[in-house]
Amino acid sequence: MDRRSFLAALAAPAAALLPGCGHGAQSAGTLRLAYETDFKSLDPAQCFDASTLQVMRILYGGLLDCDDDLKLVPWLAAEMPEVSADRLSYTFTIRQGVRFANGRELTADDFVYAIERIFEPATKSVGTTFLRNLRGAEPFGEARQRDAEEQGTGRRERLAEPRRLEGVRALDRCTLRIELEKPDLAFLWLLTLPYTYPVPREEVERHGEVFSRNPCGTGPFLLDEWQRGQRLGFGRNPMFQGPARPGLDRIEMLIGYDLMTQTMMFERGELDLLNIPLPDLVRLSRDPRWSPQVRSLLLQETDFLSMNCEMEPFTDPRVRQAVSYAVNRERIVQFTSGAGIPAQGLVPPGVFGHDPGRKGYGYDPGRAKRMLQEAGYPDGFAVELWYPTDVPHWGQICQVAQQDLKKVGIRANLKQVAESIFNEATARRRTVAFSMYGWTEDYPDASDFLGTLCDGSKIAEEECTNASFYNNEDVNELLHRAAVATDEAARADLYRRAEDLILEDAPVCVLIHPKEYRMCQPRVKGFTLHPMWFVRYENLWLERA
Amino acid sequence: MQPLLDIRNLSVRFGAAPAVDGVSFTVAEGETLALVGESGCGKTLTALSVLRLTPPAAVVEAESIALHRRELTRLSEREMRQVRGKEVGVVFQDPLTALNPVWPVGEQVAEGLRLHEGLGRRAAWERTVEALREVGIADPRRRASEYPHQLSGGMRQRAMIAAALACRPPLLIADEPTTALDVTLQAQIIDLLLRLREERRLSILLITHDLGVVAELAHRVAVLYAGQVVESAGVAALFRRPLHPYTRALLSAVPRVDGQAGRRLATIEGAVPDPTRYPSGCRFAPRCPHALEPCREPQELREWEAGHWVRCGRAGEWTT
Amino acid sequence: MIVRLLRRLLWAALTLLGTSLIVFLIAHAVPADPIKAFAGPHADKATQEALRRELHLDDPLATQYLRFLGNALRGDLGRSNVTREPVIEAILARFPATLALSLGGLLIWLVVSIPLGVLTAKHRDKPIDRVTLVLATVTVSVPTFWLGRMLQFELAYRLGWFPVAGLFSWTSLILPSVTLGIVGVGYYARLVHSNMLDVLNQDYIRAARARGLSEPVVLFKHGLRNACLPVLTVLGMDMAGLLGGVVFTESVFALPGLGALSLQAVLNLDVPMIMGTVLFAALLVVTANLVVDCVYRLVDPRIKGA
Repeated sequence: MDRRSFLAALAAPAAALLPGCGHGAQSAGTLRLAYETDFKSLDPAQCFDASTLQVMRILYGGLLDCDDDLKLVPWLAAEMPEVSADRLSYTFTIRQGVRFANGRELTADDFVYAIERIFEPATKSVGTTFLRNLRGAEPFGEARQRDAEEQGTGRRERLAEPRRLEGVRALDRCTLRIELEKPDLAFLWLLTLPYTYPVPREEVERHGEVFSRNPCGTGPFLLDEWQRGQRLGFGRNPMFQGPARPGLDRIEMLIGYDLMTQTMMFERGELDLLNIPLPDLVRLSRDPRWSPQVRSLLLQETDFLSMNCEMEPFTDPRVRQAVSYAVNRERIVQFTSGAGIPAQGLVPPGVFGHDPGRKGYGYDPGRAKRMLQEAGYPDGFAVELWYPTDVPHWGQICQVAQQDLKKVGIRANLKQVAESIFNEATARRRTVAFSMYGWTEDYPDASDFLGTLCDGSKIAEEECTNASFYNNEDVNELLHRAAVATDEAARADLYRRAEDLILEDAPVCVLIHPKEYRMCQPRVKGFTLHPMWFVRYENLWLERA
Repeated sequence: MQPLLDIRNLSVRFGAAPAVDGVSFTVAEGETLALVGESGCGKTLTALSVLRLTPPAAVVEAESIALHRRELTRLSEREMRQVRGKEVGVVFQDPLTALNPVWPVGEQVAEGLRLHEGLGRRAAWERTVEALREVGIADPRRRASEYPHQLSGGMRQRAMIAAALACRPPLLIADEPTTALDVTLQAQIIDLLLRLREERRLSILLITHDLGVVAELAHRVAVLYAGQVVESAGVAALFRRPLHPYTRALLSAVPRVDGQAGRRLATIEGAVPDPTRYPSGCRFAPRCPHALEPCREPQELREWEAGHWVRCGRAGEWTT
Repeated sequence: MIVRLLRRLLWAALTLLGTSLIVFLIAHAVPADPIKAFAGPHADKATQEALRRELHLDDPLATQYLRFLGNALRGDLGRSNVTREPVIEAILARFPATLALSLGGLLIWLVVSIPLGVLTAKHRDKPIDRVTLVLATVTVSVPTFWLGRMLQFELAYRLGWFPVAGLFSWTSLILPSVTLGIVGVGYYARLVHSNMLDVLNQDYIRAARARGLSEPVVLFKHGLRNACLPVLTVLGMDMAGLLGGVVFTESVFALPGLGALSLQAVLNLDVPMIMGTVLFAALLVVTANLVVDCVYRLVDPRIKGA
């Protein structure tokens, strides 16, 4: 998942209201937090940003979850699945007695329904990209598209074949079998994502288009209030079956509060949780009142400068390498108040395929200058560096990089671009030569990073995720082999070798792995940050005054 | 008999410039005194000084301003407000601008009644209608609810007179009451004032530059020039035998019905001197056809014959 | 009279039509694709196509515009591309907060500017006049956003006298109203001041004093009544502008009003919502224009009969 959509949702959760301060009456058991923008949809099939994800997890549930140590654990599955020897077949037993919020018991069919509807164009789901590898996904998807087109023309004929998705079948009420086209060691991670969360068919059909506003899931909370653009209210789901009951009575999420306002509200006790904005980080972490409540998390994300390998002057790898030598990553960390660590490679620590011993480019401006000279740019060159509007401190990072580059003769003109325009332009071929980019994991596997960002065979004219338009046959081959490797060690090795080649070619200049800081009011207990989910509301409780 | 209004040595200055310089006069009960002079001679300021209605920049000094022997200069502002409208009424020059366009005419009369006579709304309104009837406005009840722009010029002036006299003050200050009106209306207003004066034994301080009005309304006249009274006499005496050169010039400048057509109007050469630069001697000397060496000395106001005062050393030297 | 009214209504309709056309064209000239904003970066082609079809984004511009117009005349402003809620509902739901805020600002304008304007006219060139002039210039130049933030920071955050943000009770409206109030007060005070100066020079003021009326009565009953007439026109237009949504103040104080709604719509490239909020604001301005015109006729007797 790219940094920006991730961040777009990450306005800080903020916390509860101090009783008696008169700024809005809240009961003692309510957690209050705030966001900058409203959720677009609470339909699991349509969820693609991090803060919606956090909410999905308390409304719905999935087959598998991931614990604090980034280990996969069963969630709605009774136990870890049976996996076939060829790694193509996964058999799950569904937990007994799990109910949806409308009272109905969960069955294996609900998973089938949920996954099949991902491929219906009417669902408008973004999950099709992730579930491509399910057996029969492609013909099934095409058939559903044909159905949708014919519906549009008014001709009601028989549904196109195939009518069922071969790769997902309910063997009986509580047994689910998933089959893949090609082996994928990272596949189980996909089952922690909301695209595979079961939804009750009767509710989807009842609400139709507005199902996204009327979630009905198996999670510990349910949505009982949604004033668009203003607030959401969550109460306990009476149908929720353990393992543990949630400690909170209610969660209230306020919408439309910018970060500065949220910080002020938090310090005044009007919010319970806060995603600490960088400008306030030093002050708050040093404040004896708040420092015990601060939690930090090294994100599984890499921020980097992306160089378009198809555009001058970045067609020459020496130029790209020069950039990587020219940038002082330690200084960037300093300028972001220490909220990050210098990146040695593209795959962040904690993600499968990360090589802890990797040593990336060091800071060597002399070498950078020599390489530029070799490449035929003894006086450097001028270039535009694009960066988007939605991440507040990227401007600062770009300025630091600009200064570093200037020292070796590269005159970078900073150009701040509106987020939506930025996304489109950088994804279009031969449009943007130099930009600041970031990539956060969807799940902790190198395929999510290297496969998405550096696979040359995936280059497209538009909407290309390989923003550097980097194409190296050897790398492509390694990535394709790694994607279907069945042995973990071999897979890790393939990714390591691929990353070696990639970094040598330097289509990207990796900068930092950022850290995130959050804090809570003293009365909020159980507050820890999870590497993928950040805040887990089901684990929180409030100390009564 | 004690005069109703007794002004002694009144000066009104703007900074160093004396617009009104040592003016004194009296108005007896039932008497009409006209203050006459060109624009800028200070007559309006003199009249406004009586009620302390001069502009804030004006500095008013007087030995005495007495109304019914009550010294007005020693009154507080609050006491002064009780004099205004109740003891003294004022009629201004242009009734269209002197009446507030956004309030009905009757309201502008009634508010004075409510204030000074403590009447309730309904009683005040009844008196207002009466007052409008007394000044000769037809259908006064309807007119009272109308706005100034809905009334004709003549009715507006009558309304203003009604407002000024509603509380039956003994003294009326009329500042150019006919100047803005055409001849027919002028005559009507003059008749009205004569009638009211008769009915109520009204004293009038009449400010005007129109000698015709003076002739019809005034008992006595004071002529002002450059902030000083240069001649003061009974109206008949003044017209019959004007003594001061300025007065003589004013009278000869009036076009006469029996004058020969085609003859040029007589004008007074020169212009009224700037108050900051009055000549040290006679202030009219620069324009006076009879000015001589002694006129460089400041001239005193002297009683030339009974009731006829003049500020000119050579006054007796002309006979007609 | 009726003819005049009809003519004004016709102009109003034409204004609205023109506004809708301009906004429509501008919204479609922006080079970013709203589909991406809604569906996210991972959405595949098929999903995007489905979305595009559903939102009729593949029709030619003229067709889209005419469809919009036809619906609008029936009171249907379409649905938000992002939230799928009916635009008209969203607007009406957010209007009360903006209304409350605007009235608060208006209250402060009137309560402060009128006495101040009258006083400074009466005591012209004295210290109070000079100080007010400086303050007026400063407050008119102050950016709303900055002022709101400063007030929020000092009075809500540091001193805790008011809530920091959000609309929870009437106390939440105080700081935002004060922000709006301060920015407008200077302007209105000077407007009243200069009108009063004109008025106080008029003969009828002198005549009123000559009748013995007390100074407050002269100033307010006779003076202000006249001085306020031109202020009314300006006030009407300003109110209309406020009611269309006060973006900065609503953002800083997180008030769920039309301003915040418009801002979100623009950031999301939500064309139906953008059209809806702009048209609503235009409608308010046009209506305010008509209303002010009528009220002026009622209030100024000189025009009534004419």
